[in-house]
Amino acid sequence: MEQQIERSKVVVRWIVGAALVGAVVVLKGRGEVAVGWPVVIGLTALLAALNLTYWAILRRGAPRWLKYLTTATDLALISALIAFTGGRSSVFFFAYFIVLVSNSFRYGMGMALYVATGFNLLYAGLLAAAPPEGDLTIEAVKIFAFWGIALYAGYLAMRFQRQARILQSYEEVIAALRHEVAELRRGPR
Amino acid sequence: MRAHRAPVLTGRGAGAIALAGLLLLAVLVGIAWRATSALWFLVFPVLLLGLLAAAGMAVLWILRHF
Repeated sequence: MEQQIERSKVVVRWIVGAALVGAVVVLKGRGEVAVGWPVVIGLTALLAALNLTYWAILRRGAPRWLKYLTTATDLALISALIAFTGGRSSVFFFAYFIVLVSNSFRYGMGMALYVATGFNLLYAGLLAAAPPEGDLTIEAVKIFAFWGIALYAGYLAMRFQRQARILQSYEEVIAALRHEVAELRRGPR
Repeated sequence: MRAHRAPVLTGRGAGAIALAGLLLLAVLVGIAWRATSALWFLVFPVLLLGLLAAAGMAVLWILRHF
């Protein structure tokens, strides 16, 4: 199951990565982000190398730690992109939400809390490395809002998982009843 | 006949946990309002998870879960 999910994440990572690189190139061409080509190429190469490594690992199976590693590297890459494209005012802040929603819905509340914690630590580190001028309250509110969305996404994932389990048990009951009906139709031996 | 079972969480324990949760909430708001360094935000996960745990336990005690 986890192998299938992580394989699907590899595909999504290629698509989102390509979209983000495209957006950076367009914005750089218009002069709206001041980021050097070495950084763009470096981050793209790192993303590609990590994704190929994950794909290679997934050919043999999915170790239990892999989902935590892929999520952490995704958050770290997005933090690096944000740091190089304007920090607190970067237009790529929304990319954190792709990681949050994608992982929370696949893995549930535990992963939602893991993503929120990872985001919190990385974003606080990012702000501490390049301190913004003025009040930090807005940044704290952004972090709280992310936690709120993480908890809600985790709660919805828990509900979906519960309904999926109920549906699976119904399917098992239906299969068992069908088997019994087929036995009865065959008549006594 | 069922044996008497000691409560897992007493009223006094639940009160102390709720009080600790309120304290964590006050610290969170204080940091968000007055922090002069973003390094203070690094303690948010511990404070928020503590607050959620305290709130969860208090609500379950009110609902007589324990």
